[in-house]
Amino acid sequence: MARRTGGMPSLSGWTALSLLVPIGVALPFVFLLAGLPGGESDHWRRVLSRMLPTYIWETTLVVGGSAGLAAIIGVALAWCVGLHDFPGRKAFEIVLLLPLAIPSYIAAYTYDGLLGYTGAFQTALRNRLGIDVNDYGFSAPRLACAIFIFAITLYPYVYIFARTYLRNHGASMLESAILLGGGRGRVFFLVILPLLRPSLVAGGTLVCLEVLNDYGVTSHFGIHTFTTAIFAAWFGMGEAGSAARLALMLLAAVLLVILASKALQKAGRYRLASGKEKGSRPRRLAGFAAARAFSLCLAAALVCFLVPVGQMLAWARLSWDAGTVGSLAPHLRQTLFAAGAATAIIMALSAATALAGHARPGRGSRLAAQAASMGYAIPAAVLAIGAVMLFAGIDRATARFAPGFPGAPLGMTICLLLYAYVVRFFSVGYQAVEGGYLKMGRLPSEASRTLGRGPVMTFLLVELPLLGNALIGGSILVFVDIVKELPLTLILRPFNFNTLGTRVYEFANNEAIPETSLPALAIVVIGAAFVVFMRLWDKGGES
Amino acid sequence: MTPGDPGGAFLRVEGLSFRYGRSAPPVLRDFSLAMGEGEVVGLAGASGCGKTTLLRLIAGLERPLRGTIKIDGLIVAGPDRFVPPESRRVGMLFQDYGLFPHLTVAANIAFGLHRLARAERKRCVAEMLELIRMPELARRHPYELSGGQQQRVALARALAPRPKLLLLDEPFSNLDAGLRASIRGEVREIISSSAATCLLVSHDKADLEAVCGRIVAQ
Amino acid sequence: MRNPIWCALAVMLLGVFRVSAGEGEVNIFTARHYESDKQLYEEFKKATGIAVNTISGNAPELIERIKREGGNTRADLFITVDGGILGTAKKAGVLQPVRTPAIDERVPAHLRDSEYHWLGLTTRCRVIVYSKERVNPSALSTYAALADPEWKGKILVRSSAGLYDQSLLASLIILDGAEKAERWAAGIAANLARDPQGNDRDQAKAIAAGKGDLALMNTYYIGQMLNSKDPEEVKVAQNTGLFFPDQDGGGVHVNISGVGLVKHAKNRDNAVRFIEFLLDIPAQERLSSGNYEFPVNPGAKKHELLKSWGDFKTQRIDFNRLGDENPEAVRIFSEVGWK
Repeated sequence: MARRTGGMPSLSGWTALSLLVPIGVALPFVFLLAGLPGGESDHWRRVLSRMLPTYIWETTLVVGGSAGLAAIIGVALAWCVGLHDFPGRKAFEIVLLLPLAIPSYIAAYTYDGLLGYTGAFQTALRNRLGIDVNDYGFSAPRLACAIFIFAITLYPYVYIFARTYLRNHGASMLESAILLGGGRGRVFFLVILPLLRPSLVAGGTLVCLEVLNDYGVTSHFGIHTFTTAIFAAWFGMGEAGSAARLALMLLAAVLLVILASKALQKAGRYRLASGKEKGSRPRRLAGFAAARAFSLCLAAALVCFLVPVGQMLAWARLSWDAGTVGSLAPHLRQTLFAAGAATAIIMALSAATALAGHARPGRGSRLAAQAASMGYAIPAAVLAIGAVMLFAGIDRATARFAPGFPGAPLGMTICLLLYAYVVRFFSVGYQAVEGGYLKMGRLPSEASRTLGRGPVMTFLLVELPLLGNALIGGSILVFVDIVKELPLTLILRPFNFNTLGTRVYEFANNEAIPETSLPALAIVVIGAAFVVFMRLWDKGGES
Repeated sequence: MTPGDPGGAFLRVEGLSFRYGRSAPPVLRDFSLAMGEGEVVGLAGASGCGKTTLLRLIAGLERPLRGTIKIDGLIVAGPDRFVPPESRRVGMLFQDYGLFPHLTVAANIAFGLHRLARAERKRCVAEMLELIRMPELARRHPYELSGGQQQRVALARALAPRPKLLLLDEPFSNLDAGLRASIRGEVREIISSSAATCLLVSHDKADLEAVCGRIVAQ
Repeated sequence: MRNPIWCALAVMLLGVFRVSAGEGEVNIFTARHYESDKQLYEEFKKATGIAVNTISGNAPELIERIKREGGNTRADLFITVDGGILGTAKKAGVLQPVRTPAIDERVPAHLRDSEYHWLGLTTRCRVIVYSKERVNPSALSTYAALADPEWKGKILVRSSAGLYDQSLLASLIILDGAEKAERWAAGIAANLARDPQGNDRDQAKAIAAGKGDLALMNTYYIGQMLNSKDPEEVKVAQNTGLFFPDQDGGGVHVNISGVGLVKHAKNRDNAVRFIEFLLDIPAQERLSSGNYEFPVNPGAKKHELLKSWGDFKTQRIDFNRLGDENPEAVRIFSEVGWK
C-alpha cells in the first residue's frame, strides 16, 4: 500500500493534470504581457484620457442592458413553456433555443438590412402604401440597437437554465405557493424569481462575458467598449503596450463579473428540501390564456429567429448563383473539420481536468480550472496575438534545438488555431462536465471506490458513462460556438483555410450584405441542427 | 498482512477528530471505538451527530483531522499514513444505495469482483443473487426495482468482494414501515450467513436491536 | 470518448505535416477580399503553374501576425487597401524593396513607395455624395466647406474607427496643417445629422432615407451599389450624386490599394512574378471592371462608369505620411467628438 493517497498517479500527478489546462490557457497571456513594450505615445494618452469615460460608460450600459433584456426575455419564455402546457408548447421549447445558432454579428447585419432604408420593411411601406417612416423621425439609437441584437441572440443562455429549473421544480413550487394564498403575480416575484436566481446568474454571466468581448456588433453600431478600444489602440494606433493594459482592465472587469456571479450564486443556492422531488404536471392552459401564451412564444420566435432567417433566405434568393454555392463546399468542410477536432480535444481535456479535480478533492485545482474560463472572456484579437507570440517562441526554440523538426513552423499550421480554440472554449466544455458531476453527485464514485476501484477505473467505468449526457451536451455547445467563431479564425488560420465565418466576413467587409446570407445560413443550419439534436437527446436522457 | 491486534480488536478507532472545512465546527471530537472480528455492532445517535462521517472516515472517503483507524491490525489512517478507499477492503452500504444506474443488477454486484477470474466471478454473482433471493432479476436495471429490492442489491454488491469490514449507513431509513420489519430480518440473515464483521449506524434503536449483537451509543 | 481523442491527435499530427512547402507557390496575406481578386489568382495559376495561397483578414492584424512570426513567417506578399497601412507596414519593418523594369514602367512614381517597399495596385477616391433631390451640386466645393454652418444637421459619416476617414483627415493634416484639420473635423462633428454609425453604403441609404443630405463615400461603393442585385440599393445609388471636391485646390482625397514584398519572403521570385502580373494591363482592367477601382497602370482602360465621372484632380501626397499622421488624426477625432 502506498503512503498518502496511493492509487495510480501520485498526488503530484493529479495536481499536474489538473493544472495542465489552466497553465495552457495562461501561457499566451504571459507571452503577451512579457513581450509588449511599456509606455504609450502622447497622442494615445490624450485619446485615452478623453475617451476612457466613454469606454467605461458605454461598456457598462451595453453589458448591463443586454444582460437585463436577455434575462427578461429568457425568464418570461421559460415561465411560459416551463410551467404551462398549451398547444404548440413542445415545438416552442425547441424553436426558442434556436437563436443560439445565429452569431450576433450576423443578426446585426440582418436586422440592419431588414429595417434599413432598402430593407423589406421600409420598402414595402414605401412602395405599397406610400409611407416613408423616415418622415416620422423613425430612428433607433445605436446603443438600443446593440442591446436589442445581443438580447435576442443571447437570451437562450438564460432561458435554458431557467426552463430546466422550472420544469423540474417550478410547478409544485407554484402550486404550494398558490395554495398558501398568493396571486400568480405575487408568487412570481416572491417565490419563482428568487428561486431562479442561480439560473439567472449563470445565464446572465455568460451573456455579460459574450458582450464584453464582442467586436462585430459593437463596431457595427459604432459603440465604444473596452474591446473596441483595444482594437483601436493596437490595430489603429500600434499601441500594443497600451492595448495590453486595456486588456488587463477588461480582465479585471471579467473577474468582477465572475466573482459577482459566484457570490450571488452562493447566496442564492437553496437546497430543495426533498432532493427527489418529481416535477408535478405543468398547468394546462385553455382558451384565452393558451392563446396569450402561444402568441408570446410566437412573437419571440419570430423576432429572435424566424424573421432574421427569413431575411437571410430572401437575400439568398437574391444573391443565388450556382458558382457561389459550389464554392461553399470547401468552407463547409474546413469549418466542420476545425470545429470537430477542437471539440474532441476540448472535451477530452475537460474530462481529464474534471477527473483530476475530483480524484483529489481540493479547492485549489478546481479554482484553477475556473480561472481557465478567463480565456472565454478575453477579446479574441488579444488572445490571438498572444497565441502567435507563443507559437513563434516555440518555433524559434525548435529551430535552434531541433532543426528540421517537424518540418514546418508550428505557427503556420492548423495547430495554432486549434490551440486558440481550446483556450477560448475550454470553459464551455469544462462547465458542462462539472455540471454533470454536480448532477451525478459523489455517491456513484464513492461506491465504486469502496468496491476496490481506483480513481482511473472509477472514472472510466462509472463516471464517464454517467457523464455521457453532460459530455454530449458540452460537445454540442462547444461545437456550435466554434462554428460561429470569427475573430480567432480570421487571424490564426493557415493558408487557404476558409471557414463559413471567414466567408461571411469577406462579404460583409465589402459591404455586400446580401451575399453574406448563404454562408450565414449554412452556419445557422449547422448550429440549429445540433441544438435540436441536443434537445432531443436530452429528452431521451430525461426518461 | 499481520492479522490480530494486541488488544484483540479487529477494528480500532482512537482519538478520531474531524471537521468539514477549515472553519467548520468539528463533527467528531476525540472519538474511540473497538470491535472484534465477526461482531455486528450497532451505533446509535440522533441524526447529524456524525455517525455517517465516522463510517466515511473508516471507509477512507474522508481524511481524519487527528486520530488513527486500524483495521485488522493495519493502520489505514493515521498521522503520516492514509490508505485510499479502494485498498482498504471495507464494504459500504450507502443510505441512498448508490447503485450504478447504467449497469444491470448482475453487473452492479460483479463490479467489485474485478480481481476474480471470469468463471469465478460469475459463480460469485450467482451466489449473491441467491443469497438475496433475486436470481430472476439479474438483468434488470436499478430503476426497474422497488426500494427494498434496490437495498438488497446494494447489500449484495457490498458483500460480494468479501470485505474485511462492512459498514451500513442508515440501511432502513428509505423504506416504509411495513417493508422495514421484513427487510430487517432479511438483512440480519444475510449478514450472519456471510459471517462479515459489521458496523451499522442508525438513529432508530429498533433497527439496531433487530440486527446487531451489541449497541453503542454515541 | 477515447477514440475521438486519438482521431483528433492523428488529425493534429497530419495537420503539422500537411503544410505545403512546395516550389510552385506564393503566399499572400491580404486585406482585399474582392471576388475579382480570386479570379485573378486562378488565372495566375493557369498562366504560370504557381499556386496562390491566401489568408485574408484585417490589415493591421495581418501586419501584427507577420511581425510576431518574424523569420518564421510564410507570408511572401502583403496586400492591403490603405496607403497609411502600407506606410505602417513599411515602418514596422515587415517589408523589403522590390524593383524591376516592369514595375517602373507599370506604376507611376507617385503611386509607389519611393524606396519600393510597396507598390500601388489600384486607387479609389473619397468623394462627397449628395442627395439629388435636396442638394444642388453647385453649392458644393471643397471638403473644408462641409464644415460651414450652412450644412448643420445635414452631414452623415461613419464611425471614426473606420480607416477611410482617418486617412482623409490625415491627408488634410498633411496639406493644411493639424490646427486647420482639427477645426475642420470639429466643424463636421457640429454638422452631423446623427451619431456616426454604419458602413459606407449605409451613408448613401441614410441620404435616401432623408436623415441627411451629404456623406463621404469611396467611389467603388457607388459602382457596386449601382450594379447591386438588390433593386432598392440601385435606386438609392441612382438618387445620389457624386462630387469630386477641391478641384481648384489640393484635389480629391485619393487612397491606394497596394502590395509589398514581405521581408522574410521564402518565394521571392514567384512573388515578383505575381506583382508584375497584377500590374499588367489585363489584370489591371479586370480590377477596374470587377471592383470599380481606378487602375494604376496608365495603359489600362478604366471601366465605363469610372470614365463617365470624367477626369479630376487628385491630392498629391506621399502615402507613407498618411500612416505617420494617423495617430494625430485619431487624436483629433476623439478630441472633437467625432466618435
